[in-house]
Amino acid sequence: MAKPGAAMLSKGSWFREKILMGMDGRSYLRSLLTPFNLVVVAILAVGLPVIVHRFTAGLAATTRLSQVQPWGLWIGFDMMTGIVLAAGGFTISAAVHLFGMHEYRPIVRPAILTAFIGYLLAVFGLLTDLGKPWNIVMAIRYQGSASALFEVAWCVMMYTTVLLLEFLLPAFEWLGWRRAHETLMKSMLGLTVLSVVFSTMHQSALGSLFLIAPAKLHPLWYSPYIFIFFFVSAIAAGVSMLVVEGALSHRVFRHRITGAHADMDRLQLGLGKAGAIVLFAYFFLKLQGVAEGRHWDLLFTGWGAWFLVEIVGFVLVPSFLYGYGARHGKLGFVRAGAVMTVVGIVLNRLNVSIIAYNWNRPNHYVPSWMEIAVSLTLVTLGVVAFRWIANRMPILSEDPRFAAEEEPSGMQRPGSGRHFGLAAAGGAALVPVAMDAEQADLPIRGTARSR
Amino acid sequence: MYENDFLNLYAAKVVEYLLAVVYLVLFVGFWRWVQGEKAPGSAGPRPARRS
Repeated sequence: MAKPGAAMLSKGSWFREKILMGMDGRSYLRSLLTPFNLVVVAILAVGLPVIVHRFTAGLAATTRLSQVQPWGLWIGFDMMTGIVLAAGGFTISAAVHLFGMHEYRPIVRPAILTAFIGYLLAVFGLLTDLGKPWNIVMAIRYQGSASALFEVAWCVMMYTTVLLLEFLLPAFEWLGWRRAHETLMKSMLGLTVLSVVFSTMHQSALGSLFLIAPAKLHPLWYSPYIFIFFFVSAIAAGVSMLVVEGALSHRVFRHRITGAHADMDRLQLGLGKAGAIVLFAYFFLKLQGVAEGRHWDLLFTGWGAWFLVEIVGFVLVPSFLYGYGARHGKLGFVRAGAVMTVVGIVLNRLNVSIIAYNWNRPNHYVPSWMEIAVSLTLVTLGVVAFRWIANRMPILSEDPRFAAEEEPSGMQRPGSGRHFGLAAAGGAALVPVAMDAEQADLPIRGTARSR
Repeated sequence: MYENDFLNLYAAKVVEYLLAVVYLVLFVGFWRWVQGEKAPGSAGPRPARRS
């Protein structure tokens, strides 16, 4: 029988190893004194009291929302943008687990973690925005099955649960729970199918929410096809976020990266091809929206110029940047295209939900400083959570004790799922086809390796 | 006179179909360009010159 003292010691060493990353308490606290953490503390020192103020004093005391403009920054940025930028999770899961592109496996975990954190923060942003947040459970109680909002609510609930289960895989490895890990591994294919189904439904349903507002949304952004625009742009945003996040995390977490994760540069060129193809298709889809409404004349107005900035400057241009970078193996172009796409999709969601919404009213909505502070706080919390988890759990590196279980054995063979993808996901399946293109012999420029 | 919106829809449809055809034609070229493929019928890589 083990002595109580020994048990205490092992508990203490577990905490030190897993939570304090092998440091003693004093060294760990000293390691927290960094410029980045000081900025985080400054943002949270303002943002957290504002969140408390919002829940105690109400929306009127903290926001510039009104009956005319019930949706503001918290929906336009925290919800709409947070959800679309988390689309990398289902995009890469589908590519790896359904389309059999196992070379992209190293970026599945960071993508799922980003998606999980993104969804949690989007849900929190939604709760902050609701006048009576406790009424959110009504979406479960009342079956408003004819409502797009009902679909969004259910799909977000379901998908967040799926993301939690997918995230538990590295968490179990971190905890050393082999049995739970094995059980979860068996359900990965099913979880991926569910994640694709729920994501497809609610990414498009977020666009469907605006189908009831043709008189409020500017005609250049309003279209009966808006749900298709939202879905296709979500795939572009997901692919781009994978590139941006990969570039950033492989710089910040260089010390945590081992094995296949180190070949991120080559994977990013494959993602660049996918980004180019999807953005090219998205550009023409947006033109179809203009053609359907016969709004060509509006392109020559001020709003038209703004619309062209969005679809040419942040859709067509990054499409060619992606294409050029992927064709010539220039990673800098791919990354520039990814950053521009992310900015462009954020701009699109803000245009639809805030800027071009109620465009013809004399007093346009401008968010208060407290709304901006809350959004900034949520983004900061997301970055801190990602960093905390990635520094401890096997997100960017593989635990050798569990690596054998992760090998693709029961999954589909490479290539065999592609035809299913084309049939099931239509244009979205262009992503795996493009990513699967021959790129093995392409020299990579703009990286330390080529220099 | 009121415009007949039902019939006017066809003008928009023609533009939509034209746009779709233009897209498909351009997409083939764009796809080949992104994948680094040469157009069919174009000359293959030149042999290296001997000095």
